[in-house]
Amino acid sequence: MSRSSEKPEAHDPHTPINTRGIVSFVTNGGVGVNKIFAISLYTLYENIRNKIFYVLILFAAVMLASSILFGALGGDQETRIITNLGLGVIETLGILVAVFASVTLVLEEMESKTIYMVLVRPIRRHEYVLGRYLGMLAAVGLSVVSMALAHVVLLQIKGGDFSAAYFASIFLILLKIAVLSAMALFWSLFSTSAISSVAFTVFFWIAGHLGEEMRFLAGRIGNPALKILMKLTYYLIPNLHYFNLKDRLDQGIGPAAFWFWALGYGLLYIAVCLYLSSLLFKKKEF
Amino acid sequence: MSTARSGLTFLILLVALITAHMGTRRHYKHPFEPPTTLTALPVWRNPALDVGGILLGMRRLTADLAWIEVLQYYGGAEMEFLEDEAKKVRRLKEDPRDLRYIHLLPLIQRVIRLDPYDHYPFLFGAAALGWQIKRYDEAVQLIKEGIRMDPTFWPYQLYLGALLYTREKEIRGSMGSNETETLIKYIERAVEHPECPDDLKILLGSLYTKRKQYEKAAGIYLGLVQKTKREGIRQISEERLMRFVRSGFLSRAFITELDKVLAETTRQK
Repeated sequence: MSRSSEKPEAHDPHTPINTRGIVSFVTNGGVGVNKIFAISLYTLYENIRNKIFYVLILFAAVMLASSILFGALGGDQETRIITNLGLGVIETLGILVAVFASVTLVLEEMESKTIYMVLVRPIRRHEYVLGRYLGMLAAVGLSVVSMALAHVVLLQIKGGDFSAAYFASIFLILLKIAVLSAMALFWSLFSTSAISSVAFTVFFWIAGHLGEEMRFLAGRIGNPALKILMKLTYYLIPNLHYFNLKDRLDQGIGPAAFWFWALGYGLLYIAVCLYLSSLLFKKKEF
Repeated sequence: MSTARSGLTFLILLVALITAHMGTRRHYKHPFEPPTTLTALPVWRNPALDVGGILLGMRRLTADLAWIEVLQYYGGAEMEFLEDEAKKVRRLKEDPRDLRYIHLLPLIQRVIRLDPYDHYPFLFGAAALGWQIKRYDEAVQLIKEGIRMDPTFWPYQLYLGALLYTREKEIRGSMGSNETETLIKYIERAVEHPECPDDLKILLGSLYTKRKQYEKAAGIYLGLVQKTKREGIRQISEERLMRFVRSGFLSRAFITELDKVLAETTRQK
């Protein structure tokens, strides 16, 4: 079973093509990109239909509305508080939706056995992993963009001003979510337990904001072995400070060179996580 | 063979990732101080909130919530005065300063150490402590911290200058005359900056005048007459220079030099 899903079968031209449904398109040939796109599309629909998705978006709307109350408590700092609270809510809920969706992305299909429906067809394992990941990311991206739009309207009503840094911070929130969800997917395939995968990802979410502190400590540790260990940890744990522009909005968006490297760093981190996820998924016997 | 190829691909990706990390690090300047300042964070209220906010990358939001606490404290009843009367009397004997809102400084320090780039708490705190509660040493401490974090945010020096101008005697009384000299140096250093606003220069001139250092003040006004682009500032500076000359505050040599410079400035215009 595993081997058959590794190698794509040659498509029989005499087989009638069922044009209804996305999976049928996948199973009836098409290049890898098309297969990935089709899997992404059905994952996107699946996520959008999920009730938890709506509950979280509703919760975000309530939180955004409550920022008006917090803003009023902040006196002259009202728009600043609405901006910061809004960005905080968008990021936290975006990450929570992404982490929970990523963790169950493959595990749920494995438990419900629906994964067989796809894997008996000529789809490579990495195409399946990539398609599922991109579909989930598109769904989370949609929720983040809709939350950001609501926030912009709210700020506009309250007379807040928008700098390039505001929109850049939303973009980097999306990148942070993409990194953490790739990591969540990896942990879900590594541990095969949803709870431990969420715990591992949340641990890395927190540790990712301690990158600079780790670097600071590594510079002060005398023991060479500990120093190396600390530096290794610093390089392996994602440095989420790079994507945390919302905490340094006053400093502007930073130089173009930073953006080039930070984007490369984020995309490579995602690539490493997805590559490892594909390797783990390939080793699974169905 | 396949395992070896996978291993090699992973290694290449890992090396690329570490290179990208190093490259990003080179162009990234972490705007917050190392964690040693966190240990000094006055987290005697809600330490979990502050630490949790930092760990989740929500420093600014945590600072905002801490700021709301400051406003609630400063806008509310002074809870510390509800403690028993004997304790209050004992404390006033130990420290004769105005002890209203005794926790205001640590509460504001908590906000500014979470987000040192938010100027408002510095200015609000300095004004409240300096002019309302009259604990000058604490107001000065706050402004100094602000200048250290952002030396070209001129309102800090303006507040310091205004505090010195209006309350110099009291500051001298509570902090010593050496401290006032040190504080003047903060404004002198700011005035040397090419982007320093003219208002701060006028304020330094006024401080010198109040301290009867007329030639130093005249030097500042002369510089403004020559360089300012604001007509109002030029007029004030000229008027003050003329007043110094008429009152005989300046030496003959200084007046001769002043004449030369003013003639040159007029000719250039």
